[in-house]
Amino acid sequence: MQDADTQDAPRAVTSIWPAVVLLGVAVAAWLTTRGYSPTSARFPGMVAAAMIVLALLDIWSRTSLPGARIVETFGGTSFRRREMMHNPTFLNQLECVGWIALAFALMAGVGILAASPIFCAAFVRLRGKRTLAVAGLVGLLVLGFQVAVFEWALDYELYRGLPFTKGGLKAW
Amino acid sequence: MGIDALLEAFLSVLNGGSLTYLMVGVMLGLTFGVIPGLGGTTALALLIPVTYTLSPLDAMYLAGGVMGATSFGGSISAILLNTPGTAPNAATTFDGYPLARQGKAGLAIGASATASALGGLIGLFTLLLFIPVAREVVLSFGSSEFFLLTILGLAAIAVSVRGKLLRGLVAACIGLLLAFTGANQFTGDTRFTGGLDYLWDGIPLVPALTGLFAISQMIELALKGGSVADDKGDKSGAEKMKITGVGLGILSVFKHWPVLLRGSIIGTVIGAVPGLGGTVAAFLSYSSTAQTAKDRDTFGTGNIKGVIAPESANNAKDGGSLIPTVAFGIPGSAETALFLAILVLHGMEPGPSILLQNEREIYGLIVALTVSAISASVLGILLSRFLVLITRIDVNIIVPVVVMLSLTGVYVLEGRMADVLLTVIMGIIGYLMIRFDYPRLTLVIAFVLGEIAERSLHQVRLISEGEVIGYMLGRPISVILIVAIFITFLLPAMRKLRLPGRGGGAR
Amino acid sequence: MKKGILTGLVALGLSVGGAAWADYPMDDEITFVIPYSPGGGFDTIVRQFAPALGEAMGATVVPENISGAGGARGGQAVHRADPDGYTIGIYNIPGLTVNEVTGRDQGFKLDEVTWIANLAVERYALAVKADSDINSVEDLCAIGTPKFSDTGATSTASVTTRISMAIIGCEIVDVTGYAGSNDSMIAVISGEVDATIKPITSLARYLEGTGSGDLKLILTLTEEEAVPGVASATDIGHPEIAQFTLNRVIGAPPGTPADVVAALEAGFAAASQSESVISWAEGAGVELDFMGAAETTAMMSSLATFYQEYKDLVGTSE
Repeated sequence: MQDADTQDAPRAVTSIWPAVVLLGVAVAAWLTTRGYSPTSARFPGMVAAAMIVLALLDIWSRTSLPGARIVETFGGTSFRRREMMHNPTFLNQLECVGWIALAFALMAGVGILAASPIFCAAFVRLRGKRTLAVAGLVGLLVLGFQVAVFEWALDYELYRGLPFTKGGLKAW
Repeated sequence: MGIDALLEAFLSVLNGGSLTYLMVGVMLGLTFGVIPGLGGTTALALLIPVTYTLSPLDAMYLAGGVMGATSFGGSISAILLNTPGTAPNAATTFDGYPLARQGKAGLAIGASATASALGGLIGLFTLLLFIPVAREVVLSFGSSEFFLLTILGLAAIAVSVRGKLLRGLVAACIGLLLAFTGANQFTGDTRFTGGLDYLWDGIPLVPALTGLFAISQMIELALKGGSVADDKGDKSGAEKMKITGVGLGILSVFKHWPVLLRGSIIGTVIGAVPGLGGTVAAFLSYSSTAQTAKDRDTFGTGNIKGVIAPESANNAKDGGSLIPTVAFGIPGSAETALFLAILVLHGMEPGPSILLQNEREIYGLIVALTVSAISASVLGILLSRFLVLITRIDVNIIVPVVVMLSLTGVYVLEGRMADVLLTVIMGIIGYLMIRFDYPRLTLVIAFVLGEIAERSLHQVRLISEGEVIGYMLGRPISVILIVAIFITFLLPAMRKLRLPGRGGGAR
Repeated sequence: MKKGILTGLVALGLSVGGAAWADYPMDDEITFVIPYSPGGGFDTIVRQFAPALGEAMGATVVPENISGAGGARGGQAVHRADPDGYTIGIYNIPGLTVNEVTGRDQGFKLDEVTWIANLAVERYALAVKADSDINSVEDLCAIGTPKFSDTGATSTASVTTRISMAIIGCEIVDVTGYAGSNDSMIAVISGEVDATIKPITSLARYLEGTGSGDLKLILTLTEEEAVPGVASATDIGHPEIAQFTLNRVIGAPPGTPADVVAALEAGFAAASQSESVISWAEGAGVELDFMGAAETTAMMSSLATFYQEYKDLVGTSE
């Protein structure tokens, strides 16, 4: 449908690729269930098969093939009222996902207590472009909360980081 | 006996230092509720060793304080940051967050606080009414009713994702596949684990939900920049600066009392069924309110009823989840399971006669829940003036703090770094779902219900010796549920028939 | 069986002359691993024993919950720890034994664990609805393929149910998938299934006299009469099914020195005699059954042999 909202939706969102990836997931899940005993395969097999059909319909509705408009009308596949109305660049998205990965890497590497102030301060300073004072304050507040609530009040030892924990990855 | 014990429990709270424990519980519950990833279950699990040194009754006050306050705390982050603080607040984001972005966070918080407190009270009142027949209630819910309830929840998904049905169903399929991951309980086979023993017990709920809702939302917010309540497309700048509306929010709950009542009843009933929990209760309450409302087209854009419905259900479920507890000494929710664990730790053996043997503790908990629900809400209303300021803070400060606190919360629940990794992965998946416009809530509802649906259908098949339909039709509650499922499916179609001109177009 | 004892002997032999351990326990903390979340049976018994054990040994005992993978993750954590006596754990027995027999890789081998003690034992019984006409196993089997209720197919109770009913020669359907053992007992009360086999202490809360009186026992899986008026395994001519028990077993990392084992063993022996533990056990209906290191090791091997014999039935049903 060519109304204003749909036209607003970025090409990446309305292209067939998201649906193709999901079709791949569904097919992989269905193939995996073939190896299970009948009782164990019954439900996941049914769901995976249903998902294959739905993903195919999803792909169809995104094309200009005949019938696509009908699928869109009955399946409700329009892109009106999207949750995310802004359209960031790919690099920007990669950067944000990278920040989350960094948060995890820091927690795993140097432990939660050290990671909290480092990550928060770094994010506020580097991505938020705030002054060092603000960044430091945010970092210290988070550290203070973690120490006060978990380490003191609840007497719980937060993760200390891979090099400082016995068992390494196996202890995860 | 009941009223005496209740009065006695009330007086003992007001008299002694017990109030301190209760208030500590409320503060802790609010804090843990607000922070995504941390919730009532985590708070109680962490408190269990601490309560070892307390008297059983003080332990109850502490636990009750936490239980009564978390879900309201969770609604605050749901409204202000579109990030449910606890899983059951997910439905609150639908209308709560649009309100916050319109600068009406005060209205939403006022309504949420009032609906939480009143919903909690109605739930507890219903519990008191039900205590004499609690046994019958629990015994009438068997495998057949469990299965039908999950189908009702799944059916509500299909009709509530208006305008996005196809992608909603795809997301539901993913949720079901995630639910089937792990060792299949009734055969012992492992499925979709890829050889990781981490996945034997299935995909853990709290890390998955924290990733899907909190982490993904933080990625989205970081990309958007600015602050929550500054929508570039919105022109009424002066309107935004108003932080008032809390009073109106409180009033709106009384104005929409049928919504409150319906939410509370749904919450109590779902709460009484072990294993379903607040997420399903809140979602069913939201979807049934949205479906039957005259102004249903405004749901999802900031309708105050969309806040009242899930929040009343959310708190009423605490009362409901005590029904199986007073009937048989079995937990109706993760929180009541931990409450029973505290009793066990104090040398009591909860069983079917729990109400006779542990009357003091049970009524202590009921009183604590009551006081907690009210004081958490009063506290929330008092603080709301400051809380809504969160929506004006630079997201670049909010994002790292929420990410760090919620990842820590996930770690604390079981002490597993693997959970934190899962949260990050689910966060990225959740972000992709936001980006490509696949509804996350349908995934979550399917994920919560999938395993119960499979398990209970397997049981019904064995119990009924293959005659599933005939067996169900012989059970009154099952018949009621089947009718409810049909109505859920047929209602939208019937409406379309009545208004032929409206077909197809969601507005 | 032989292998297990051998390992035990090797462990003992390795540590002979380890005089350096004579100081154990120093004032360091002893970590007591619980392979389940707070609140369950394992958690409770550990938290009851921990203070008494600490007092007996002059050390601080800190319980730590490491849950996951049906108790295997906690077992792995103990397995990885240094064999210095500062990390011990409670084990899900025979749950882990059953898993091992079915060939599931749990990340460690049970016969490598240094067994310290057995704290308690729970025995099973068969219960039916109190107001039913069924009064014996014969009556139950006569209704034709009676239905039983259980949580998971690999749970000890389900394995017990399937093997013991097969030994008795009664064809049953075991309806698995109940959320907890309480739920599976309530399924009997509501009439959804006909019977269930559960530990006597769990059933007690639903029995006449000790609980609500919704259920009645028709058989105890014991050699002698355990509950007055209820048939035992011997009475029905199948004493071998008395081997099904649920144990609370303590172990330490492989290669723990003998004097450390002896010190821990003595500590647990003293703790299980302590007033606090005994009064708790009485209140909670727990049957304390202390066994030392040698006896526990022997029991672990004989359990492995026992379940190996019924390997085909241990595997999943349906």
